[in-house]
Amino acid sequence: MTHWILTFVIFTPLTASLVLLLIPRQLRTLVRITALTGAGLTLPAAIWLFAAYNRQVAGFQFEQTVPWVPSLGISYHVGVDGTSVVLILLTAIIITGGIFASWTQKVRTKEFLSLLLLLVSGVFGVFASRDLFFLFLFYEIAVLPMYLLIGVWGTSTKQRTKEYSAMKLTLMLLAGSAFILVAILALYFNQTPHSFDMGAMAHAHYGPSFQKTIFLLVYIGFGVLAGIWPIHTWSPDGHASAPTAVSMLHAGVLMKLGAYGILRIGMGLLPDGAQHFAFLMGAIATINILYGALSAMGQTDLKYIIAYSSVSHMGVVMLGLASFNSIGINGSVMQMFSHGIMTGLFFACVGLIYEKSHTRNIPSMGGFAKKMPGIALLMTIGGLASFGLPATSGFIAEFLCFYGMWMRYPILALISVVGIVLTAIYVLRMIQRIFLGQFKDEMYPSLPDAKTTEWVAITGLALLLIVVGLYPEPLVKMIDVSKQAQPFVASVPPVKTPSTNESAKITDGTLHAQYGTRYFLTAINGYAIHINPNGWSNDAKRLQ
Amino acid sequence: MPNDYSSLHPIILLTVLALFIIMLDIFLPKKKPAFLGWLVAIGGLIILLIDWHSPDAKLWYGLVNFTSYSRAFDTIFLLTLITVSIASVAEEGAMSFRGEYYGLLIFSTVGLMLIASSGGLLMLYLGIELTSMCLFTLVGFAKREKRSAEAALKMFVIGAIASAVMLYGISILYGVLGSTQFDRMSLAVAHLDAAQSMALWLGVAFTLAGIGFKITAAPFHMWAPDVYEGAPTTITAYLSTASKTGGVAALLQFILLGMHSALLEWTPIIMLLAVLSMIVGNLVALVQTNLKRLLAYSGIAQMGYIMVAIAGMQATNGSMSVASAYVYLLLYSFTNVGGFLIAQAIADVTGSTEVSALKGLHRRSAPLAFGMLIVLFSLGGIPPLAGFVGKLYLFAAGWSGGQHLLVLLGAIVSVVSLYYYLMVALQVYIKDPEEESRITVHSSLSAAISICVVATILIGAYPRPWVELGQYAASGLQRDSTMHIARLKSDVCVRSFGSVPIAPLKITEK
Repeated sequence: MTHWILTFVIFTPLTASLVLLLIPRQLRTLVRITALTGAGLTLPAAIWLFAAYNRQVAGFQFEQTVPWVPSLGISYHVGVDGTSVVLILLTAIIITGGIFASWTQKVRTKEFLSLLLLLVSGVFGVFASRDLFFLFLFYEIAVLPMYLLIGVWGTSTKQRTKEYSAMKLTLMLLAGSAFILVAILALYFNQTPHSFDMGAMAHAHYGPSFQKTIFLLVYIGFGVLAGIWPIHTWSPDGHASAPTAVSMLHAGVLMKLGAYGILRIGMGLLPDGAQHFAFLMGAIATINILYGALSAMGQTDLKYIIAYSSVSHMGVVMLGLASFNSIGINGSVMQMFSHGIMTGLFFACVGLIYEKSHTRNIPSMGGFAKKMPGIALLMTIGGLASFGLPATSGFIAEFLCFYGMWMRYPILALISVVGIVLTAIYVLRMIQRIFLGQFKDEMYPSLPDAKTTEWVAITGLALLLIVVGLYPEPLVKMIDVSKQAQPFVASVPPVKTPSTNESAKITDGTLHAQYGTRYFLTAINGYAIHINPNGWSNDAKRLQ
Repeated sequence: MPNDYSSLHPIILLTVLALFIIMLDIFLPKKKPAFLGWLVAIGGLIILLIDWHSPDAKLWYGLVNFTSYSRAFDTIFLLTLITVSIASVAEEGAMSFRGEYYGLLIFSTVGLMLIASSGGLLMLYLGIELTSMCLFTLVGFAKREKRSAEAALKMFVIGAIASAVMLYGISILYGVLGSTQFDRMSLAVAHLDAAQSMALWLGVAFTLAGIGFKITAAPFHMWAPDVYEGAPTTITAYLSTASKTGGVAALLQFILLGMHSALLEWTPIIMLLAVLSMIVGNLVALVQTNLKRLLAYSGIAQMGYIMVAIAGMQATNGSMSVASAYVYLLLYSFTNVGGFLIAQAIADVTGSTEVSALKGLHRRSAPLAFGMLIVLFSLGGIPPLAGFVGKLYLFAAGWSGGQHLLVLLGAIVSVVSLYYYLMVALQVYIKDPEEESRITVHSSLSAAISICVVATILIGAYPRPWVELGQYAASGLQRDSTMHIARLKSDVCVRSFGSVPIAPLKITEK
């Protein structure tokens, strides 16, 4: 059965990107509308994917396979499981928002939008690929346009020129992909028949020492993009120099590619190797959370704050992954979604503030809420989601991550949870210093609130944060890694533990709970959640 | 059909074409564009078609050996000849002796085709010499320019030494192995005793040094940047692609056909060449400010990547290494020719081949800027362009041959290489131009550039036919090595001198 939906999602932005090149640059409105169509068409498609994905069957669906270079075992093979669907939906939302947010972009608009769409095609491709050759190909397509996007349209900060940031970002990310390339070759050659297909690789029995070595390569390679400490240094500079839509996409979606790669290739294909480094991953994630939060506290440039907060939040994502149980990993994917939306909202708001006030320096701001109440409100919502206030999507996501880690390494969970407090401090302080206090009339003669297209972008994102926070069920059910056939969790039906307690439906790492609050209560009560402490390796064994 | 002389048609026709062009030029008015390049291109295309329809053959007791290998490599040589000739039309007006220019260009292609179809070191050497002699002259073709003359002299002196060294190596090999024919050599190597292995090593090392000069592998690369910079750009384009391709074709034959069982002798040398070329090429390229020199060093590094695949030849029975090297050379000859031709197009207007001359190119000529970006990213191995597929294939071949560390090194220095490619991209797309005047490109030159850029995109977007072409090329060498194995099995150790006729072989299928 061949499904064209994923190919449609991947290649619509690409087509739009090429069509844009043919449109004369004077027709700005046509350029923008074409770009919006290219990006916007993916949104209904992604929503359709989200609705049509069969959650009972789980596993990879909507698959399409076209042999590409049969003699080398390369095929164009796309397919999605719950995780991919959620991330594709996230990407579609962010790019649509991003096009709206860059509606007023005036310099070389055509090329800008074209590159943006090219990049997004790459992102969709990574999330949908089931073939490592294509996954890597799309990965690089997603990374490389960044160089021009930041180099041409970025802004130089006091510390860094945009050329420096662009070069640093590109080189660090591509250095990471060198590791990935080597890992892919190793995976390719250590199974017969040689094939780049991840489905085939999931059944190859890689030896333990091989798994450890290659996992490290994958972890470092994708870790650069995921912003893991200490190879995150491209991220603050890059995000601070990038134009709004690019920051949105990069922090919102691209960094997730890194985490996704670790999840899909590292943990999915090399479960034993990954398991071996669980503590290391957890420890580094903890450093990420605290280091990112502490660094954010020390910044005065608005974009640097958000950039460091991304580093911190990616730490939470990695923490969830390092728990190696379904709760943590579900939380991790939730956090990817939640942080994607949230940081998209943040960067969009920051972009608007900068565009109108021409400053990103916090000490020279103050009292902005009087002039731009709408932006103030929405940015506050983003801030609340950022430190995981209940009723925002951040709560459920972060809670699951920390809870998953608690079951694996309680000590790391204890340390890292401090990050939430630190986040609350810098976020609230930031909001206070920008929006509250004395407004300096003489510095800002005019400070209008957002305009129509900008409203669409930021209101939509903020609403999503709240909707997901109040009603996370569809998302949680969709992700539910414990039900996914492969590659990262065994394809066995969950083992029911005999218990009359309703909460005991949460069995063997399978999430059946409906709402965030319920997780919360069950956790507080501390009973009835039967999670196999070695769930991961057991799952992996069962797979064989 | 072992004795089918129709296999010689492409080479004969090409020689005739060269002579015809030289004669024709006498009757054409001077100082006016004559579009001779297009004539060469059409002729080349026809010969390419004829080549693909000529049968396999082994002539003159195996002195020349036409197989799918030679056919596939002829394709690269002829395609490069075609693109370079088309591009040269733009220079015809300013050229004196344009007939000789094309004539020498075609003769050098004949030499390259002889290399690819050689059955032994003798024909290999002849091919290399024929090519080199033509190229010495072509490099110095702009004889009124100091740099061009300097480049020609430099290349000639170093080239002559390299030839001498190689010839010395061949003579040692002949002394040790008793033949210059690949199949005999391979047979003798398998039965060599330990006392002679030092001599064998010397012979292999000297021969590889000669080939190393040809393909500008470090440490035999010193001449390349100066010569590339001084030579007329169209010739540089040819020199950096077709000529190197010929060198690699020679190397592959020499190693796989002749020396395959002398692993210990050649593997360390090739590994050394790979490491040095990748490191020297990429690191020195970082500080280059001249586009032609930068491409020269990048070319040295690219040869290093190919060496990675060749170093892995032992384990895979060579087929993957040969196929990947072939695919890489094919795409490289488009990409690199494209790069040099774009440099030429810019130099025609600005008079400079410095990287800074590219400043703000996107404003001065959007198509050239786009082409340059494609070329740079392809050289950097960025998907979905050709360079990515090629590099991945090379590294895959190296990996399957057990050269894991070389592959890792290659992957890391590729990232280094991206720095200088991106620095050029920075000038092209991010910097603002110093003057706004638009750059207009001669229509023939832009046709040649378009061919190169489109091919670069196409090979990357749909690699299947090219990969299969590579495997087709590899099958040409592969069949010969099974022949060796069959012979080794029958355990006939013949120490024949020269090219004494041997009975047709009966190949036993496995």
